[in-house]
Amino acid sequence: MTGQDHAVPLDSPAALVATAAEAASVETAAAIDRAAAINDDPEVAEVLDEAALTAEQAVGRVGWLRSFLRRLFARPA
Amino acid sequence: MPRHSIPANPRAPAAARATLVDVIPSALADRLDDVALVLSEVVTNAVKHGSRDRQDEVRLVVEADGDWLHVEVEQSLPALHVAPRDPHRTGPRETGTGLLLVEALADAWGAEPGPPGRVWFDFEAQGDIPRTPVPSSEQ
Repeated sequence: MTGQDHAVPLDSPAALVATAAEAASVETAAAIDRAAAINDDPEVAEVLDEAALTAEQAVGRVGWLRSFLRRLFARPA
Repeated sequence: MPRHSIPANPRAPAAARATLVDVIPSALADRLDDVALVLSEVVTNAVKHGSRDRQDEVRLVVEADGDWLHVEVEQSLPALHVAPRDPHRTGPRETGTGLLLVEALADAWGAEPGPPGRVWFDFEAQGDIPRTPVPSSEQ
């Protein structure tokens, strides 16, 4: 729906920005998931839970940014 | 009127976005990403600030016709202090940015304190011009 469904050609600076930002957000979310999977401390689990939610929010925002750039650069001059 | 109950956990924003595909009017297809972001932000807030615990749920009510979409996001706790941050404020920006995006992208939105608290937003078909996320106070 967002992000990866709207591939931007990698030959533009905007595409590189979008790709880097998307990778950063997705990789952060995955890292938090990996930490949560091996954590046994309930207090740490609560903090990781909030971090995971914030990371998921970032994934949504970057997906939208990627889509926005795609639409912006698709407009006729 | 489609209704969805989503577990109030970190997967909730993605789960909420996934519900849009089946309900968004075709006339709004070019705004799907804007709608998805606004829904994601409102659901994130509902999980973060409006849920009792991770066993709680966030409830979505979606109403749509040919070129109009109305979404309500209901949370268990009251929806208090629901306002975007001041875009001119300096310092840490840990809260209020989501509602800044909601205000910039949705055609209308509001909140009912409850409980249960509700935040709603509307989108209408407007053609294919990308909208720039500038808060109304800066326009």
